[in-house]
Amino acid sequence: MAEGGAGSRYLRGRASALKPKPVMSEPKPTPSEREATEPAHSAQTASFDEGSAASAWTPPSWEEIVQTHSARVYRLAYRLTGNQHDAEDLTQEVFVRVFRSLSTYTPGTFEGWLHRITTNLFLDMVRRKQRIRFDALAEDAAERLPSREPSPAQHFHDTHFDADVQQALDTLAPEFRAAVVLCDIEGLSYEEIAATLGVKLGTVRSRIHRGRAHLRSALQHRAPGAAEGRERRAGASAEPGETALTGVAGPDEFAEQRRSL
Amino acid sequence: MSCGNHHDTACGEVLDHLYEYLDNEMGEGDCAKLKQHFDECSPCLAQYGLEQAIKALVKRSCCDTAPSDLRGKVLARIEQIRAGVPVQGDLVGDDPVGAGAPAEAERR
Repeated sequence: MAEGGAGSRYLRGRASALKPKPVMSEPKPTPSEREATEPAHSAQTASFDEGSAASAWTPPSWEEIVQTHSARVYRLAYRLTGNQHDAEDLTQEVFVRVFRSLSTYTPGTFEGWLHRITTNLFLDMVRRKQRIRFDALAEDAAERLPSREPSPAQHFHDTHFDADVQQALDTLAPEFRAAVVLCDIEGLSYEEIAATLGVKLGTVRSRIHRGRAHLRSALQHRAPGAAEGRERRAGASAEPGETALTGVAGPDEFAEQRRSL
Repeated sequence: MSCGNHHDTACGEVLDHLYEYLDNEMGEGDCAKLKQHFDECSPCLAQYGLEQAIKALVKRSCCDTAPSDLRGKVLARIEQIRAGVPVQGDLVGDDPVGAGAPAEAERR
C-alpha cells in the first residue's frame, strides 16, 4: 500500500527531477532505449532497497541545484548569446523557469530539460530583442543575417585565439547557431536537437548543414592558403611569395588536421 | 564538386552527407560507403578533414567559466520570487518551452 497510488508516483517524479544526474558523461541512449529504461529506472528508485535509504535522502536544495548546473547552463548560454552580459541574464532566466516549472517536470534527463529551456529562452529573447519576424525566416537566413560585423580591431590574435570562432558563430542566425552549438559543443544527437528545438529531424539536418557551411566561410582565414587572413595575422612581416604549403608562423588548424589524416 | 574519377558513391552524394557522417548520424552501411570513398578520393577526404577541423575548433573554443558571482545572483533571484517580489524583466510570461504551470513550484 505504501508503494501505490498517485501520490507516490508524484514523489518519484519529483525525486528524479530533483536529483541531478550527470547523464552527459554517459553514452546517450536512443529515444527507444530511453523509453525502455525509464520505467525500470523509476521502479528501481521506488524499490525497497532504496526505500530504506529514503528516510536519509533529502532533496537537493536550490543552492545545490544551482551549484551543480549553473556552469553548464552558463556555458551554453554564452555560446548562444556570444557575450557575458546576455549569458548571465539568460542563465538567471533559465533557473527562474526551472524554479517555476519543477512541478511539471517529467522524469527524463535533467540536463536535456535544461538544454531545452536554455535554448528556447534564448530564441525567445532574440525574437523579442530584434523583433525579427521568424515566421518569415527563410532557410537562407544564415547568409542574410550577419548580426555583428567584426571590427578591424577585433582581428584575431594569438592572445585571443578563439575570438574569431565566437565571431563566426555570432554571424549565424540564432536558429542555426543553436543547432550547431547543441551539436558541436553539447554533443547532442540530431534527434535530441530536434526535441530540444521542437523541430523535425530534417530541419535539424538542414540547419546544421547551412550553419556549418556558413561557419566554414566565416573561418576561411584559418584555412591554408588564405592569403588575406595570413597577412592580417602575420602583419607586415608576411612574405608576399609565401604559399600555404611552406607554412608560416602561427598555428594552422586545417593544415594540421590534413597532415594527420 | 567532383574529382572526375569514377567511384561507387559519387562525390556529390558524399559531400551532401558529409555532416551526417561527421556527426555520427549515419547507418553502418552508408558509413562504410563513405569510408570507402574517402580511401579512394583525396579531394573529398580533404573536405572531410576541413569539416572535422571546424567542428573540433568550435568545440575547443568553448572553455568559458561562469563568473564567480553568478550563482549568488541566481539564488538571489529565486529568493525574490519566493518572497513574492515582482521581478523586473521577467521573461516567464508565456511559455515557449512547454514547461508549463508557473507558480505551482513555489510550494517548495
